[in-house]
Amino acid sequence: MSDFIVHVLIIAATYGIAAASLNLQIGVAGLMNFGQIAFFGIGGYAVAMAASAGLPPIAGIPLGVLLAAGAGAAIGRLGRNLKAEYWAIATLGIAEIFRIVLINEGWATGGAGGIGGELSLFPGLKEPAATWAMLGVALAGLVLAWALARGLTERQFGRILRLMREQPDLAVSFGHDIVRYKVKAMAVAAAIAAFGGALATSYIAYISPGDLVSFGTFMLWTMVIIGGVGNNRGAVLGAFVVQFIFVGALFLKDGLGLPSELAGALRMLIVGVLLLAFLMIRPEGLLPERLRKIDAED
Amino acid sequence: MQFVIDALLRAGDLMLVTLGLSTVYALVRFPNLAQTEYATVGAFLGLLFAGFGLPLWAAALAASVITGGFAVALHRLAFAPLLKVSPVIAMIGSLAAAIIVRSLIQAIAGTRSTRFDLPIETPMMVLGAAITMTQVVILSVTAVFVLGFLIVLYKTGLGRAMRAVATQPELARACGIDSNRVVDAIGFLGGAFAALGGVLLAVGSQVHFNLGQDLLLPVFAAAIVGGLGSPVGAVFGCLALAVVETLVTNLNFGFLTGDDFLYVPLAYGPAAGFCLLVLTLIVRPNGLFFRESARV
Repeated sequence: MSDFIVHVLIIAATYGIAAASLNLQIGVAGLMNFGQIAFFGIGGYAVAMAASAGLPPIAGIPLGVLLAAGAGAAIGRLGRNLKAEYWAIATLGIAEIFRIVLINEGWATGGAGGIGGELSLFPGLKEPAATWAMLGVALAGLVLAWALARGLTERQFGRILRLMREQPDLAVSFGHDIVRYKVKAMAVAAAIAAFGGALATSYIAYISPGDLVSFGTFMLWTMVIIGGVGNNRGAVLGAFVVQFIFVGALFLKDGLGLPSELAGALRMLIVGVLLLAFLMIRPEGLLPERLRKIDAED
Repeated sequence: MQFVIDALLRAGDLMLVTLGLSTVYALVRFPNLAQTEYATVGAFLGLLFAGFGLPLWAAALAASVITGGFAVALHRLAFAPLLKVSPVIAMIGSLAAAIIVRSLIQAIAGTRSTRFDLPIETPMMVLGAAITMTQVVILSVTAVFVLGFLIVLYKTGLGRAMRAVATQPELARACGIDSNRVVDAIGFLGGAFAALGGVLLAVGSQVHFNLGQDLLLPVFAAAIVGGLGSPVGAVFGCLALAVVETLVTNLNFGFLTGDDFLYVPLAYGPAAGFCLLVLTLIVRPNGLFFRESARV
């Protein structure tokens, strides 16, 4: 049982990292990314492909983080003039293109079957030490991602992003180059998400295009909205809530004796209903974004 | 010639759903990500009714009417309240609704692909291209409904009211147009058209619970290429998208590299469509056929 809880904690922590990244985009900067799972996937594939190229899996982490930052910056630059809805659809499209490329370039990515194998970050360690080490790394990574997101949110960078979210014209009239801020926000957020993806893939020891369908993005959105859009702690809380509900669905399935084919549908249904319910009844989430006091000297 | 037929068939697959999506967007001003799920709902309702022994046309009609009603109900109960908060919130809400619908269909109908029980035909040869009678019927039905819709939109009172609400909601209300009624009517038509599109897909090929997700990006790509909110643009957007998708996978790119044969793998067809979408957004963020103020 404790093994199982450790498993859920590791997964929740890695998704929490990606949720914190998504919150930085949608909650703080107002950039409606519907393709977040692609950044997560860049990190994951970097680890898996580094390993199949004979490098230690851990070398894939900086590789994936850098690649994702580049991709994020490029998307921020390309989409600089798009309205929120169009930004959402464009990112959805980009994530899907990424997935189609992964499926088709099988020589490098393993195609639809994906890549699996020995991806542990600590090849020397044996079970159960390896799992405990992974838990430590995942939680440390989560704290790191949260601290980074929070640090960025609370300083001038975050203030300008929030101004850009609420009053883009005002931000421009203050002399802020909002395209540059969009690019930076996307690059940082993408890097964080790729870090989460790298940890998740290395733990599960497998990644395939099937893990990167838009439902993944949808789950991350649910985490952020349940937790509270714009609140960094909320995003992390949301990740744990959704993961534990997922597990609950698993037990519910066993309890009701449902066939496993239905379990997937049940999970989707629960997440969908949860999100819609939160949007309609408590759109600010469990931990709402706090109004910030403005210091005159600041 | 085969190329033209392939492109037309692909455009026809997307046309009815895209037309509904784009027209509804003109009124409600948020991209409804559940719109393509109406096609799945319609297809499975049609299959259900056909299973009861109804003739195909009656099953399609009943499925369309019920789905249209479902679309109106969903808009009133879920999207309209969310829309008061913001369009983006409504968009996420529509994604949640889409996921709920999809998972329910998966739970009820299972994950296998299904289709209408129709006899298999030998294709006819028209000007050197193969096409089946069913495909001819599907294309004709699509064309009739698209034309009919455009006539309603540009020749009738409802169409005029709809265009008035789309361009100047306040002024339209001041003129005594009941905008809620117009939104309901167009929402119903949008849902019914998507359902009919879904039924036709189940007639022509096959459908499964993930149909809505598979349609989502091509339909949005077509709608955006044509200009979200422009019904005529939706028609041209579908044609443009279908031509690009078909072209990319049929053209011999050997001349670029000096090889004798160099074809893009078939699976890249959809990617070409999405690239067109992204390109359109970058170059003309409001679509190719978009005009901000149209005469009512």
